[in-house]
Amino acid sequence: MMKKIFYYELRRMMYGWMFPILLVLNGGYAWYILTTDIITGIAYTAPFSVWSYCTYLGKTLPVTVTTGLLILAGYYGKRQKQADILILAAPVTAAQHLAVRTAVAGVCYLACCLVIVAEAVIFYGGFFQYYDYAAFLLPSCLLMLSCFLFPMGMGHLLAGLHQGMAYLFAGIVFASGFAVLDQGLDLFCAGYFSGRPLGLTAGQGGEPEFFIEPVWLAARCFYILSGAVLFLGMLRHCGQKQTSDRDG
Amino acid sequence: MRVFALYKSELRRLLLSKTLWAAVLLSCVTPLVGYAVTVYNSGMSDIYIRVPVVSAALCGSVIWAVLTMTEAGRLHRSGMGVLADAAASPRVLAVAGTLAVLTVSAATTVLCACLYLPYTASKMEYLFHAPFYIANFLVFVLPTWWGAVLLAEGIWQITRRVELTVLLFALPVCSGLGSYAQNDYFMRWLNPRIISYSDGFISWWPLRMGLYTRMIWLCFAASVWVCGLACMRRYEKNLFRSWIFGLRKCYFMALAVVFLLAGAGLWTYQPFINQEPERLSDENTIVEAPAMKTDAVRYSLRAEPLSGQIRATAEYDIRQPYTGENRLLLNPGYQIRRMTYGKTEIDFRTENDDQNGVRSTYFTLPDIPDQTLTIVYGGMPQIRRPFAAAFVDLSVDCDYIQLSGEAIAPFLNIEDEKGATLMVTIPGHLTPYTDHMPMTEWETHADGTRTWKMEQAGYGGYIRDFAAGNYTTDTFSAAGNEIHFVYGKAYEKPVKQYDIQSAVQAVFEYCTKHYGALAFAQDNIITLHQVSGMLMGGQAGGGYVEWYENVLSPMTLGDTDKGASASEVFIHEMIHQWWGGYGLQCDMSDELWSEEGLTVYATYRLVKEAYGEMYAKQYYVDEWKKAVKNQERNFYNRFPQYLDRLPETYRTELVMENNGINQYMRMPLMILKAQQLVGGEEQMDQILKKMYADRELFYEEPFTYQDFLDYCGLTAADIELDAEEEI
Repeated sequence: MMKKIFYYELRRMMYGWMFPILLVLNGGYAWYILTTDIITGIAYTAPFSVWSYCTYLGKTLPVTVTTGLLILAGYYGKRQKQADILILAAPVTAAQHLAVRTAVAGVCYLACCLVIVAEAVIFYGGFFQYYDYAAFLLPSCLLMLSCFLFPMGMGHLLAGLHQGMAYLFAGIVFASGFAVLDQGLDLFCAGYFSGRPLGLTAGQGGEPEFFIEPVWLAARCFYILSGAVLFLGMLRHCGQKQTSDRDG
Repeated sequence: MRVFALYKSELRRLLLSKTLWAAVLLSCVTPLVGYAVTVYNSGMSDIYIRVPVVSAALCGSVIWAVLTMTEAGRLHRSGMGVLADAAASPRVLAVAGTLAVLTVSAATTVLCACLYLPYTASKMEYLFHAPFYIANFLVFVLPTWWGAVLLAEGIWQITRRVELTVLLFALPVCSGLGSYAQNDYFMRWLNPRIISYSDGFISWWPLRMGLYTRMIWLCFAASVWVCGLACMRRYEKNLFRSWIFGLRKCYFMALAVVFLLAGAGLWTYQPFINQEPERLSDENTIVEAPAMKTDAVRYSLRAEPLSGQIRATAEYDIRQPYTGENRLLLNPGYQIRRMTYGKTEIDFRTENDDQNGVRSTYFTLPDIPDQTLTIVYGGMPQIRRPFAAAFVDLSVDCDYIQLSGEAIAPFLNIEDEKGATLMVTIPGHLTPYTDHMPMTEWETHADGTRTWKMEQAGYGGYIRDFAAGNYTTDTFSAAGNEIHFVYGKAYEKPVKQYDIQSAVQAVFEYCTKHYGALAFAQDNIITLHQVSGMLMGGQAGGGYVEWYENVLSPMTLGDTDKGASASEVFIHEMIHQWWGGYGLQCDMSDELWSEEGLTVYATYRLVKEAYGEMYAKQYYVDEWKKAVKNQERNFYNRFPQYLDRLPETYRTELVMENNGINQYMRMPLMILKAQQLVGGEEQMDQILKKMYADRELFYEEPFTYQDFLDYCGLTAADIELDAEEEI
């Protein structure tokens, strides 16, 4: 049953006109960042260095995360709440439904991420004939996962209070993408990846080797864990609410 | 009438909304964001007007766009949309609602300007100019807010979805804020591009440019807004069907297209920046036709500061014309209105071949000797595209006029044995200088303007430079030279307060002591000429030093902690009298070697003596090392084979950046290394003194890098910088 609902929700999202527009926006923005910012090389490193690539992710993920949050906020709209009465009658719990919706938002987020990564691959291959992406994998996964889980958990929490709060949060998340913090503690870390190499000694290739700093890793773990906790908390809250609604 | 009645009721309703007052309050706070921004080497107008106004335009736009989105969906969110649509046409209701928001935003702009006026006036004191301050809010803030409101309303009407409106609105916002648009006057629609302001010589050029770019974006936003009106949902139909339905009133779409074309037209045919390529060209613009002998050359210019234009006439008394095709060069912003030779009208054609700041016009003269060629021309001088983002060197304003070369008079290949006469009519309170020499007052007119005259001996009728401002001149002596210190009347107070005269004397005495007496003062007279802050820097030539206005800014003079600051630019330019075209001429063909390196090194030494070793190390040596290190680390410098992958704009930027670092950072660092190898500062001073004493040997063949090495008794390998160990 869960599977059916998931596919239904996913089809509804994919075939609607909102997601394709958001996907195109994501792709367009990512290409803009690649051809204007990344092409010059971040912090004097190669455009295809891990530093440059992570800066690229840090600059494009705010749009992707905002996309996910907008999709999520849509589930808390007035129309959706009217439909919830019917949904409660279905043989799935509210918590399961929340999980399904999060999974749909996750698939949409993943699709946007795939577009971003694919564009980077095309750009690096086409412009610089660069194809060695092994070192990109770990930071990409950590960054993408933390940028999904924490905003989604927080988004669920805020949207549960009021739909407007989710839109406000989406705006704040988007704006935080322009922050130039260089500590590696912010969500997207574009400022960190573009500033950190400047303080490092150049290695054999003439530029600093990429490495994962403990502080950065700790921040990622914090975002991932707190996002997961928020999400699980929301699942539990939904379950309890549904029980009390039925009892009431 | 219906629109007006609804507009009044919408305005009343809006004024009762708490959201609106929150928006007004937030908008009034936005200039404060600007005060938090650190602005380096800038004048008071930059800090207290430019930056707060830009932040108000940027942040306020977002606030008003959000308010518009909130207001736009209000009726439908409350479920009253159907009733309201029955009472009034939704389109008229939308127009009235938008007009109400525009009205309130206009009132907020005025409120905002009035709110900060006392603070700004008290901070800027004698440099405050109330009309300029108010004009900034009206030109930059108001149209930007209006553009944001129209765009947000238009997008919402098309999508009817808040989240999509937010995202589609964010798209032009991001493109305007992105690094690609950083130096583009036209792309930056939310945060207008203003290079710098002048405190003492108010320039209206940035406001003219700002108003023009705001008009472009208002046209685009209006186009989207009208398009939104055409897409207004009717009878519960979807977007496409509503649009088809709306096509019955085709004038809406026609109006949207007109606005779009108007914006595109204004963008394409902008009159401020010429059309030459971004990349500097090596192609010379020298006129190839043989030189024509002339008896006299007369130029007559009239400045029209209100429109920023000049009207001018050039007359050449030609002894024997060249009957082949002649070519003259003129600033691309000027149009030749008429050309006559004696009494004969001459046909001419102007090519769109902008290069090195000039455009060519071709004409043929009849074979009649001893006639006068008269060229009537005029217009707004256009600045050069490659430098447009860095400085404004050509402007005609009420308080300051700056023109040079072909923006003064056409360049025609002539031999003017008797020289050229320039007559200039300018506002009465301005004092003009031609090639840094004062002009003679000729005539005062009833309209308050004055005509000035200058006779210049033979440079082929070419006048290099013309500047007029509200100047005053102090005359004093320094190291045996007579100094004419020309500066804006607005700066009389700081010049006295900070004893600038003594500072100038100290520089001249230092250089005379270390490098020898100044040889190329014209009759031992040096003119120190303050130029507008819009020019961003200075230059020096025979007997004159042009220096950046902000050197005298109270911010610069009062801040003792400031690093290599504007006042050190002043020192740098004065030192060019020793190391430069009129002192020791350096061979500029080597990309590393130039007189800039020697001048920067000498400035460092002077600053070290004046402010101490720590200061000089922090603001000079450490900065040089950092820049050279970054240059060497730059990926494209390490792997030049990838350079051709870069778009031309970035390639040009990199080349210019490398040239700057080589001349201003790398070379001083190499001279510093040479200083250590020759035995210290005293020994290096002796070498530099000898180089300056021998300057006449290098008039024919300028002083090369190898010459410098020979004087030091070193080889290139000795002073080459080793990557990590030196830097």
